[in-house]
Amino acid sequence: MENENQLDSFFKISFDADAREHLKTIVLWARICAICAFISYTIALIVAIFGKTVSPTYSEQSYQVSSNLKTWTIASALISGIIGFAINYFLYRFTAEAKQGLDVVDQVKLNDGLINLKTYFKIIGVLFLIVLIIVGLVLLFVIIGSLGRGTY
Amino acid sequence: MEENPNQSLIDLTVDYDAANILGEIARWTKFIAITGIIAICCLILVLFFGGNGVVSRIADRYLSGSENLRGFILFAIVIVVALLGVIVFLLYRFSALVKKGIDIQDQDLFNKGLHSLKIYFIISGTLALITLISNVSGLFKL
Repeated sequence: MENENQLDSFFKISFDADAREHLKTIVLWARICAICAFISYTIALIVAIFGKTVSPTYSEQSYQVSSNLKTWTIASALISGIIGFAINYFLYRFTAEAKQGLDVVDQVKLNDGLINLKTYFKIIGVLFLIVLIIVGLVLLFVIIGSLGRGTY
Repeated sequence: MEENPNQSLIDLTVDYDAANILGEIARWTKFIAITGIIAICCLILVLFFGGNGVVSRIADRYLSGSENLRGFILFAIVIVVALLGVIVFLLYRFSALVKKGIDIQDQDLFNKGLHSLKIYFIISGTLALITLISNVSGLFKL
């Protein structure tokens, strides 16, 4: 009985006309975000692969440096592209399913869309966490390094 | 005027599943927002203590050390930091309002939370468009 009341209390909030209007705009702009990101990552990869690496001299050493630089550029564009595509895939799926849910008033579709939005923010959160840990470790090593130098 | 008994069945409601999903979205967005606030504070500290060095490096690298454009670079950095601050604030506001709205069953708070998320995505979309334009211009430089 208590559980039933708990379940029932959730139904007091709905996606009313105001909320639906907000959600429609969210879906529109989220789709723009996702599509722009897909195109941007593709272009960044093309630029990384076919772009010229500027070298002031034509010595063998500078050729080696420029070749290494190009490899790094392509690798970083590829990695950021894969991560970016994965994140924005979920954002795009959110827009597609939420739009369908709003258009045909389908609660299940809307919930599926929200699950994709949750995954989108979850991946970003995990990436933030990883960056935070890396920055923390770098700071720790810098502090330990400076303390170590201070003792000699 | 008899009320339509099927009206609640037709409406999209925040049911048990939707409330759980929105609660989790709110939790992750709050984490992202708090991390973002910390990052922005660090950025402000770096700019406060080493701002001159940062501006000089940018001017030397991209604008051939032009002295006249130093003020413009500083202005652009302040705008970017402010924009990041607004984005992070909107994300935090969304998470707080939606969570509270669901907890105390307040439709108005819930809608205000969605409004914050809407502005967040409008700003993100605009930034994504600007990034796309800059990437397309990079493509023509090939």
